[in-house]
Amino acid sequence: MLSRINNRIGVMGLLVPAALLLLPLYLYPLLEIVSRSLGDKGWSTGNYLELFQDPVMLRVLYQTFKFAFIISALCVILGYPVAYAMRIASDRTRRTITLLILLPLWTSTLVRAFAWIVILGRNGIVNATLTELGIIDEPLKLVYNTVGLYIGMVHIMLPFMVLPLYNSLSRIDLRLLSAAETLGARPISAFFWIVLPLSMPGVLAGLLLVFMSSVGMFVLPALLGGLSDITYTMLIEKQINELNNWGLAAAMSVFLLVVTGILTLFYGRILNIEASSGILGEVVRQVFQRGPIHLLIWRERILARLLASHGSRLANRMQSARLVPRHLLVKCWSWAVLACLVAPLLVLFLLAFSGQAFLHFPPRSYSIRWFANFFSRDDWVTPAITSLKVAILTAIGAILIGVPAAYAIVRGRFPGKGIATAILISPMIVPGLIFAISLYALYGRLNLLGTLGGLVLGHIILALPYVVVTVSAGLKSADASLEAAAMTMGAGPIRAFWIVTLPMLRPTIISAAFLAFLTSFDDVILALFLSGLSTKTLPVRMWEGIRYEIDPTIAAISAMLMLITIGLKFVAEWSARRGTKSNIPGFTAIQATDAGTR
Amino acid sequence: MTSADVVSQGIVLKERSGSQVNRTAQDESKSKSGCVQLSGLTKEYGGIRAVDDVSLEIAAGEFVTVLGPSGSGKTTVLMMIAGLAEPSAGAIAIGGRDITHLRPQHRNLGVVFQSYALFPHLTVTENIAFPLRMRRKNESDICRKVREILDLVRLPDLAQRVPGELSGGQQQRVALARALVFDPPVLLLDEPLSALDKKLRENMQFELRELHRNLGVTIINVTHDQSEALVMSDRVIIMRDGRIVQSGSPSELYEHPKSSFVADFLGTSNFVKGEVQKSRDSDESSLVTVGGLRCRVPQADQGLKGQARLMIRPERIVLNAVPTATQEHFVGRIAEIAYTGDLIRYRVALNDQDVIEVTLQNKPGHLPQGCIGSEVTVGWSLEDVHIFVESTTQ
Ligand SMILES: Nc1ncnc2c1ncn2[C@@H]1O[C@H](COP(=O)(O)OP(=O)(O)OP(=O)(O)O)[C@@H](O)[C@H]1O
Ligand SMILES: [Mg+2]
Repeated sequence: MLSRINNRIGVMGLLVPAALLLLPLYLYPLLEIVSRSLGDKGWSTGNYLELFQDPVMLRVLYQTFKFAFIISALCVILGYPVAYAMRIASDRTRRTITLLILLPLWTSTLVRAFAWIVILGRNGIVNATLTELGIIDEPLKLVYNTVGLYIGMVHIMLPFMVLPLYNSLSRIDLRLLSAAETLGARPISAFFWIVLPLSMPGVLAGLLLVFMSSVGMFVLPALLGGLSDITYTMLIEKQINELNNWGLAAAMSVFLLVVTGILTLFYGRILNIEASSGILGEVVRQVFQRGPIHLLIWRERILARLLASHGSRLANRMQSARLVPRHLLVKCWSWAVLACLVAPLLVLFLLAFSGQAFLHFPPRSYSIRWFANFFSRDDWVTPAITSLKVAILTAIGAILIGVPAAYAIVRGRFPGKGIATAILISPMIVPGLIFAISLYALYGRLNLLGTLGGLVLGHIILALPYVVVTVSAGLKSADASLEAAAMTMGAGPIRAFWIVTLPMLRPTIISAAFLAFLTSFDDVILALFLSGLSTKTLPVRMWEGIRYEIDPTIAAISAMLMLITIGLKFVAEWSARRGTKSNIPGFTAIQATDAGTR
Repeated sequence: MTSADVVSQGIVLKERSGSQVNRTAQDESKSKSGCVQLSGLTKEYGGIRAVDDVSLEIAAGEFVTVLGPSGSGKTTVLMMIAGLAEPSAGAIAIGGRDITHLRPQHRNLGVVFQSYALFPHLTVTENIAFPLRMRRKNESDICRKVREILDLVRLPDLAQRVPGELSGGQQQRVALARALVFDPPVLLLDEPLSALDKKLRENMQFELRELHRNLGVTIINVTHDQSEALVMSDRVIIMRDGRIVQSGSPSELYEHPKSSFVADFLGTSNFVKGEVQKSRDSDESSLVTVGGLRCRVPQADQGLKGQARLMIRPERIVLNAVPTATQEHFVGRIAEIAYTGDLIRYRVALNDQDVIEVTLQNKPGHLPQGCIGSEVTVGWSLEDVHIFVESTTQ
């Protein structure tokens, strides 16, 4: 019989397939980027000097950080009331809100960008309506400029703000609010004194997550932004595709990687700040929790001075009965924000059935001609089939590699486990564009560009984190002692896994496979770089379509994509729940890290 | 209101005027604003009545405890008074003013929650200053009041700590200080001592009593700890299934329970089940148990008939005493002895069916010699006996 220790180390063997994939196709290309950034021969800091001295570069860097900061701030302002409404709502309302937040999250970035173009464009719904009502003469410029960029990015990032915020709000004891009220606090004071300071870790986590993902944004600014709204990643792409300046592009990428890495570390720490007693926890407490309290105390001191006659006012207030329903403002605000989150999807869905050649909302007549158009055009159907092929192969590959890796991580005990886990998860965090260019450089030399296999391997790397996270969660909730019991009855470890653990994990694995499928099916960035003409995927075809024509066919495709993705996510979610009884927070941990790929 | 209530309030008011001669004029005005009236208060949760038609009048300065088993609606009553739950029907008035629909922040009541609900991110000082800040008091007043109240609850050294760094008893005092600092006429306490250990709980009971005497504030305390209720209150209200079953002074409730529920809930009781029958030879009725025990029924309960339960407190039973005319006595065997330190509990089997408990003080010479299995006589006097007819008892 194998000794227990040997068994635990032997489990490391299950990481071999993942290592065979990640070492040459993920870590090596990224290291190559690092080495390229230091010059082609020898070690030189020339590229970095150029990066930090070139005024254009600095301007774009500044602009990108500014965008990311404003997007984060907008997300807090819009999202906080939603998270708060979720906290105080009944279970049923909370489920509805969660669904409304997840629906857009489950819809592909391209579809959402297209929806905003249709709504905000020159002849879009907003302008058409306002013109018809006679409010404006000239159409407003709402898209292909910074406004469009903000709207699109906030739409995408909002869920990543609301979910950590809710997570931190849900830890606040609501009885504190009752106590504050009995002590004489109006709801608004109770909020500023109690809720806001206590939810500060959530605010910070949300800000970091949104900021981190926004700094690496590429697809959205390119589609919705104006000519001058160039972001850092767009500049990297330009260095490669137009200027062929790989050294500088590499240096820029390394810089972004470092920034993202640091933010990720902070994010991880801040999420469970209450438990930590380190310097960071103290800083968060002193600056972000105590700071607002001191401000409030000063405000009260000044007001007390100014309103020496407040006694009579208080007495007047005493007379007023309950007139306004509680939290009316919060609720109105939240439902308005949620409506804005979901409305674009609904609009697009309706437009897909429009009977006209131009997009008018609501459609004057309905037909399925755009669906018919899609299926009759080879330039749409061929990429769709390619996408399906790639996504199915990705799902199979990611499961075959990811399930053993997850098993090793959860059940094994070996040196370097933390690092192995971090590497497996990291493709979620590395900005999509950087991974894409690193692989692009490698495939260029290996002649893998434009091959189906090459694209699938790339997608497997992208999908692996989702599989590992989902299956790990499933494995953790599955009872390890059952496996041990099977082994005491004479089954070897492999047989024990095969006949005991695997059947228990089946729902989780199905869920993970769907997630992997969707990761591949949604991907634009990697496919843009790696797929040639022969392996053009549907997202790439849509990317071209959205950039060069506004065609109702795209609305039809979007409608189908929405149905497919939302349907699959439901199945994935449902089957994961059956497998692991995962609750919303656990689930959002998977979803939240999804932000890096936009 | 029952006549018992009137009597108990009379007693309370007499005590008050005796012990609190040195009240200031401010206290006098508070004593007017501190009376609480509940009329027909009802709360339904989806068709289930958590509180059912509760009417109650509490005099200013009274210390009232609401006692009842878990789920009897005590917290719900308190939360409705505090304004944190909206009554389905009925009205609440404080100081003669109807506040049924007033928001909690305008009711000016001190509330101490079972979990204390201290703000974890504020220091002790800031927690206590919170209600004063909400009332826009000026800074020097706030400082002075906070210092005074910290002295009152004996916590002056912990002013700069946050609640997480305090012990349970200290947190309890901070919660109390925070609820008292703005001089509310009425203080609501929801099981304030339940999280404390026994020793600390007893200390706090005395401290609360003392605070109450010094401040003259009306206190409504909720608990399911009967000894706490008896020790602290001027008046005890017993609730069951959302209704008030009896209210009165602690001694009144203990000595004269109106139902076997109250008798059982307050203190320990012996119940002997049987049927009330007329004796053949005399006019007197007695309770005959299945085991064949025949117990005399006190004069007042002679009119009762049918299935009934006889109740006698264990401490009113004497062992091996000389029989007198007023005493009942039976012969039994000691079945069990439990040693609890200050008291010794005997279980005495009078026959196969009827076993009663007797408690004696742990004093030398007081205790019967002998041990389990030895024969003893058990006696009580008739005025300590209560009869509850089954059909009217719950
Ligand atoms: N928010 C609520 N929704 C539905 N039912 C409730 C709610 N709050 C209380 N109840 C019900 O009302 C009844 C009375 O509850 P309450 O909390 O007042 O009891 P309690 O006497 O304070 O009990 P305990 O001693 O356990 O604190 C219970 O049956 C409880 O289940
Ligand atoms: Mg309670």
